[in-house]
Amino acid sequence: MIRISHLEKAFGDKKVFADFSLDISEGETLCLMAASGRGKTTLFRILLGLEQKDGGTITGLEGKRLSAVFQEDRLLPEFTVKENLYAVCVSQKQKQSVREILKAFGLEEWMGKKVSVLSGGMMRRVAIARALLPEFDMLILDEPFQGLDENTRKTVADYVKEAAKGKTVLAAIHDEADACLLEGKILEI
Amino acid sequence: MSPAAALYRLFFLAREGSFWQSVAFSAVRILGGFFLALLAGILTGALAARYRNFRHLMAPLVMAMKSTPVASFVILALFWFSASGLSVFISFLIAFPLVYGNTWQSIVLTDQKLLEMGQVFHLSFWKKIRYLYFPQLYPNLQIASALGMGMCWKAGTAAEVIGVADGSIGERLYEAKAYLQMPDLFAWTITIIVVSIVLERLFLALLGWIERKNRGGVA
Repeated sequence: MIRISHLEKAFGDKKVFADFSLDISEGETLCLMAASGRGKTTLFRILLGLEQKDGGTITGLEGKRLSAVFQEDRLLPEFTVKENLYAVCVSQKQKQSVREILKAFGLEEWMGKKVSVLSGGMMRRVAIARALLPEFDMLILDEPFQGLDENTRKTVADYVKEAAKGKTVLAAIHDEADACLLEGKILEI
Repeated sequence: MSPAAALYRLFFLAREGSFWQSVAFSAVRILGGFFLALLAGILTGALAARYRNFRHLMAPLVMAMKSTPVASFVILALFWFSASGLSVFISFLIAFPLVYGNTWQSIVLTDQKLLEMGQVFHLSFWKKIRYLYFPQLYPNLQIASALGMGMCWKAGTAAEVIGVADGSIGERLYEAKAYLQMPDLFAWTITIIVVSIVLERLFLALLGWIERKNRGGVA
């Protein structure tokens, strides 16, 4: 169980979290829905260790391997699709699964192309593929399906569900349809 | 004196073994200084990007290197080095501030979001260099190298003239001046320009090749 208790975070005068608490069960898929600026990304950044919290406690993350899809793709623009994925691989086994995941995402023929020539939707798929390659215990998805068409959303969501089976998934989503795709529990914050 | 006379003299000189010995003598030392500056500039530039205090410590030193006249450095250096090692030292002093400045600025300006990505995915030290820092550093290093190498040849040969370094291009220029041999002066000047351009192009090609290899061979 990952327990977030009485979380506090402010940027200057703007309070993002004041006494925010949340429990996330192991293996659960939790979809957070909130209007823009309510702190979903900030919460993810705190969980990923990219932002310091002002107060409160977070337990259950110790020793957990986290992987993430950021709100922006954050791909390496000078490198190919393959190199973007190889960058996060730490074993030969992971490198061998690069072709498989790209095939599943309909990107196999783009493997040797620079990511900067891809469309927005393709780049999003590469970012999602990158998050699924390393071993992880918890997957954080910040608006993962933005820029993807209906069919691709389903294909990608099915792959994510399979890859994250038994793992904890925390996703920020805009609409209930995305939560349904991930078969996750919806929580409005 | 006509350009034809200078070219004729150059053609004549190029047939002598001593011509190529002088070119090799100067090229080895000037390139030696340049490569030392490249290595030291990248290492200290990386430290300066990481440690602000180190950057502050380096600032007056780099400022002094940039603003002190080459002639002053040459005369000072003659107290410490033999004339033959002079162009190594002078080339180093000329190229170092360029490489150092471009390195630390490139590292500091590396996309913060990509650095965070590297942190989340636990990229190793070498992967961070390869995927995050080198692509940022490469274009600036290219500019610094092109500029630096040309300046190294200018200052390096000037130092050899002042120090009258035995067997160097600078010594041949000094002799041309002393004996008022204008065709020799122009022939050696053309030689410096050509050798400088050729070596610069070769180095930039090498740098480009490294960059393509780093990207996995994709143009």
